[in-house]
Amino acid sequence: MKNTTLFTFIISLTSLILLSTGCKKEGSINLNFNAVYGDEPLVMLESYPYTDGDEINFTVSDFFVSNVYLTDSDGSRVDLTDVELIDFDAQNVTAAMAQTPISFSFPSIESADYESITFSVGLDAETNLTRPEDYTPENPLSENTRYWGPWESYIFARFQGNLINPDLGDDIGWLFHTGKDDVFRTFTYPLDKSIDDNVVDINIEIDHQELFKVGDDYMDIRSKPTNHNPQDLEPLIIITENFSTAVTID
Amino acid sequence: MGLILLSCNNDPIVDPSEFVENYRDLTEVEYSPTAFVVDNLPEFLPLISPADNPLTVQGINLGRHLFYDPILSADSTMSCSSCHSPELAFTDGLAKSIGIDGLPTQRSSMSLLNIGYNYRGLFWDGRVTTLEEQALLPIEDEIEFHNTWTKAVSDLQVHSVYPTLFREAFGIDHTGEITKELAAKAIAQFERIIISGGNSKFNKVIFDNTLAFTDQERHGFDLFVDDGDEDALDAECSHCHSGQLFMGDEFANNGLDSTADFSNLIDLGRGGVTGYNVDMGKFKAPTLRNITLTGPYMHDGRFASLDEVIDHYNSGGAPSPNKDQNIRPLGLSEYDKESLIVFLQTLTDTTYKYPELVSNPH
Repeated sequence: MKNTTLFTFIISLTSLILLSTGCKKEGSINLNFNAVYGDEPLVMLESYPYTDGDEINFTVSDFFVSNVYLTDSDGSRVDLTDVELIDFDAQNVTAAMAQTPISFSFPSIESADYESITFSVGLDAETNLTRPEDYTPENPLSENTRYWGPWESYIFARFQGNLINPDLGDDIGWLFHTGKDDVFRTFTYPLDKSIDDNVVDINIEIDHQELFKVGDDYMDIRSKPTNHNPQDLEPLIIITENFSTAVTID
Repeated sequence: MGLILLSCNNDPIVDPSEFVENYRDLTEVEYSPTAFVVDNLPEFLPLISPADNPLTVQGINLGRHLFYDPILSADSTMSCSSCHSPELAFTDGLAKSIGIDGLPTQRSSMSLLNIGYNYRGLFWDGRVTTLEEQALLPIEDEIEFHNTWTKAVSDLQVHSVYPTLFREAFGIDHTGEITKELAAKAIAQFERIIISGGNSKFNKVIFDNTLAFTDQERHGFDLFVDDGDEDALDAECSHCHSGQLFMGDEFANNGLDSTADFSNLIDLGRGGVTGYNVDMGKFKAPTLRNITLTGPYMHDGRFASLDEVIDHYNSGGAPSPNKDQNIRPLGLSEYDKESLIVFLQTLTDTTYKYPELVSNPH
């Protein structure tokens, strides 16, 4: 009798342990990056209102995000990815394709309530010491056109396009390439997502109009249409820091 | 029970000689491929071969024979080397290549120098990604070889030498197993070892520290790379011609043709592949290694000299909605333009890393 009771206890305890460990759930997260200009999807070569009668279009919009992680309600960090290239000039080539986000999927994310997402625009100092030949061809960090030898830095973000004024009849090409460690910035955005044996979408929208905001006005592209100058990082820092307000998370 | 017994019988052995055209058994030929390891040049990306087509001595040898053999063209008058000559950094010195019927191709022959390191689109419009895919196309192109792979494979099967080379490279058992895919793989292996640049003055200055730039070469180099000095003039070249191959990873419209809406473009370039407006008139920025040997220049060979090329870029090019924003009037002086050319000459290296292996074996 005593042995039966002990046996039953052991079996029950074992079952309880197995049940509790087997109930540890995981889910998946999709990070979906969308490009907009104000309220409209951003489409390459489409014109949008800028300032003072100027219209702006984009022919290039791409940037690295790095060290992407979530933070749960307990303050624990879940790393998602080291480096990804967000390449809107490859994706947003038509109005139809601009409706489809650039997505990255991350399975096996521990169930929790996640309260924030953090990512950096650009590459951290350690990664920025590497060079394209350190990577295999499928890695975007192997692309030589995304590395600037004279700066000894990757190009963190590239924005290019044209400023057109129908009244003035001119068409000014503009270009902003950011890079160097001084321009690296990290942003944390609030989140309200629960993972529990499900698939969760985190939609990250980047408003390209906001990227060029300077106070209550916008960057004077007409006066200074290009910046690829390590001695003059101010415009590049402005664009990068504007990710704090240009990004909407849903 | 009878069904089970039947199903346990071995299938009757089929003799391929009874149904394979041009059949010849090759199993008495030794198949023992030897791996070929490339000793990479400094600062070059790793040379990656596809998992199903690793470099072997025998594969390269077969590819070398095929590359220089006119057997792949319909009338056996042209080989790959007809448009890709080692004496001209594997180009042909023509604005547009000429096919076996004397007709011009649409575009200029691109250099195959260091082509194995080009992982982001082959041809001027990037319509294929791998060398294995690329090698299939010229054979059946109506202007180039104007042949069919059916005929080309048949010619290879009855040849006195090629069946043995295919056996040694890929371990086929009989001539019926010679395919266009294996031929393309062999050519791709050969192309992957067309490597040059280590003996250029540029490499000796930058990597070996055994030579120094002249003042004018240095000035040309500074113009080429945009060193970030706002007070200094820049030619912006390395925005597109970057890395140690001085080549583009992407496609760009460099303002060759004036257009308001792309409707008048003769050659759509990348846009002809994707169909997207943003890609119209965009082309690959080719390697500038040995550029002094690979004229005429641009996808249609419109510029006979580097002087014309630099004058084009200095002018800012022609208007186009998607013209790259780095293409704008540069304000270069005559000395600046000369310096750029003098710098580009430092990228010349007439030697090959594997000179015997890339030469004509016939």
